[in-house]
Amino acid sequence: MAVQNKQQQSEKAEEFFDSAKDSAVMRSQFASQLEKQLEDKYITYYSSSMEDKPFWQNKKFLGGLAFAAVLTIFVSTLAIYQPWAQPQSGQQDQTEQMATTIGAELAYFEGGVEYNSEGGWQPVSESLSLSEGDMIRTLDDGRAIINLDDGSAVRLNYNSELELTALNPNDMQLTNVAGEVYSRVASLDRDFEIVTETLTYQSLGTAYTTFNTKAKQGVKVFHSKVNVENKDTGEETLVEEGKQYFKTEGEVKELSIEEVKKDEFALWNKKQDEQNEAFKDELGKLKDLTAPELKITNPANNATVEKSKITLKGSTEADATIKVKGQQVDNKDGQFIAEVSLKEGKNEIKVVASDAAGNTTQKTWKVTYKKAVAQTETQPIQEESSNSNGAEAGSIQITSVTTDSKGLKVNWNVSNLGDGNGFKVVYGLNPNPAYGVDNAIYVGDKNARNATISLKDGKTYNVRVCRYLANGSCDTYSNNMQKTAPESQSQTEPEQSISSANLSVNSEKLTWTTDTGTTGKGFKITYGATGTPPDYNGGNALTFVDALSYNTTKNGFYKVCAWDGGSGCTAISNVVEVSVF
Amino acid sequence: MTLEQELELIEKAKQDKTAFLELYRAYLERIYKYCFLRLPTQEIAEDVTSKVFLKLVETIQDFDTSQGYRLSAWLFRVAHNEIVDYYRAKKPDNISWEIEDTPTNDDFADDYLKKITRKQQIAQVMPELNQRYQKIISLKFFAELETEEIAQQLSIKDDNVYVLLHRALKAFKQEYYKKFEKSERFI
Repeated sequence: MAVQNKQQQSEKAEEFFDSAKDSAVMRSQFASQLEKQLEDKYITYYSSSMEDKPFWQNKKFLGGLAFAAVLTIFVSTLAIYQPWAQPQSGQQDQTEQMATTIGAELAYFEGGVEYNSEGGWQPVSESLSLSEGDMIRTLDDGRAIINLDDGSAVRLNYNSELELTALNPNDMQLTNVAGEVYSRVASLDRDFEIVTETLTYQSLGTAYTTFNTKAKQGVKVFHSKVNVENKDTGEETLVEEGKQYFKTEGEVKELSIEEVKKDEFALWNKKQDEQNEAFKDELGKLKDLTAPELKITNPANNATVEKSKITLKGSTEADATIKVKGQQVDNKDGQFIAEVSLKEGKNEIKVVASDAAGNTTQKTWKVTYKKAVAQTETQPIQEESSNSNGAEAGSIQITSVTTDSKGLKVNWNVSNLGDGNGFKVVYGLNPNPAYGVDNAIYVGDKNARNATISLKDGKTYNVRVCRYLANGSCDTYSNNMQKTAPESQSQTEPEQSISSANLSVNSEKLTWTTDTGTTGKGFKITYGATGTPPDYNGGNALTFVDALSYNTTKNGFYKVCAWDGGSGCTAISNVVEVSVF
Repeated sequence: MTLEQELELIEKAKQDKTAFLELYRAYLERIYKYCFLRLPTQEIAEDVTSKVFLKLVETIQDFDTSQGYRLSAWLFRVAHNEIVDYYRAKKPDNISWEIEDTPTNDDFADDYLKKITRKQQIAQVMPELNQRYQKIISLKFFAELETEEIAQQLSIKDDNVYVLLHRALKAFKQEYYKKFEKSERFI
């Protein structure tokens, strides 16, 4: 039964289009005029081929015809894991087709981005699911990232358009209709091809940007290689990592780092790739765009130490060169250690990380070396006067660490402790935090016995209290105590959801109000020429409006739906009729 | 022309001007019809048709007959791209859908008007669809290609042509209903 209906539909469609075809009448002179034009062109184009010049030298790229080449990405997979593609007997053609397509999702978007899925262009929403045939386009301020289920990512720059032409795992086609599209292909056993009218790009697990604008058509290769085949001339050109090839220039050129650094789209893609487990180790040329990261984890900057030698520890990019005080040190997979001798007083330690492209990052670390103070040297009077039992050592004991609205409250006692310059409450994620290395708060009052650390991140901290001395160091550490900091309550208010909309009409203008008084996510207007309009279902809107009114242009019946961001409504209005036209 | 005959003619046309013009005459009407049904006016359809064949002069030498594809594959593909380009360049407001005055026999004027109105409607609806749907509808109904040829051009299996066409028609209908008052409709 169903098949019969489908056939009927096809026949009806044929009838429908057939009648229109008869109206295609050509002017009689047109055919002969064009024939003459072609004849002339053929002669001039190929005349020299009859002489000594080889014919392919007469080929010129079509400046005059300048039609935008269609970039199509072919993916043929060799081994595919598709749990959903089990053949099922008795299934209709349609469902079988749907079951074997690879899914795509709009993973990220910013600015103006629209999609077209059988129902005209509409703004996208977060985590939009996309299917075969859908198109995406970015406006002047829009960018988008589409993740494919096979692990690949395709990113659109501003003013670009992409069509998910076919998402069949054996034959995946993405059409770059216009603009710039960066393809990040999950490598392994896949063959990738980008095809245009005249050029074919074949690549294997790469990162590259293809350009399809009026000004340029070509490719910039950031990782691995791309083979370009010119269909017009049959020529093949290999474009390696770090090089570019554009149709108008016709030759492979270096991709200069300076040029790429100015390419905002490339920088953005690099950032995205770095955050992706699958891509971050295959940045290729993109790595050289930015200077290597440099972190020094030990000691803390501006720390004061009591040793004449410190162990400087840090991390950076895996293959950067590290020099501490001018001396190169070993870079073990991004980690480095260096023994540094200090002179008394302030020291400035220069650490430089540089990469293969010549980008450098420098940090100047300040460490103060103060010799450990012998009891007899500093404030001896103070010490002696407070030490009633000369022999017994002083100590600090944390009695408890509690949580309050501000963070962690630390309580302690002291015993036989001489006066210092107050206390430092030292805290960190690792046990036995030390002053000068970990964070600390200062309690100036030597008689204070509690303090509150402002921490609201919910993490578990280790706390110690030490006596702070006039020379800027800390001695006499307390025991170590652990406590989990409170977590701050989320302050964001839930978005107000519209639950009713009231529609009225004045002449040709529709106006509506909502119970929240806001426009929420906007409205979809549905239309019926002779009767009640349908409810919005994701594909049948007359138009989308982000306001509370709309000027109609034809008679009929209208309904307004408060859009839920997907394919439905949170509220549907009453129906009104327009009859002024 | 059979496929073999056509491939032979294409090879000849690479060197022989007369053979080339024979190819042109064989395909002119089909390409023109295809363009006309998707573009607003006769003039624009003629313009695009010319572009397609003029381009063919430049690229005929590289046409690989060993692939076994007819020339129509290339011609319709180029025509489609030109048409898409046209709509991309023109803002929708700048397109006039007025029906031109075409001299015709009075007896058939009414009938002609109906047909041209429908053609305008079709041409107006097509650009609203996504490109794949536009392609399959035009290849099936305007270019009148066989299922195998359509499958070849869209790089899909023969069985999938039917399914894709069904979806495309559904989308076409939807867009059509959006644009045209019931009284104007023909479906």
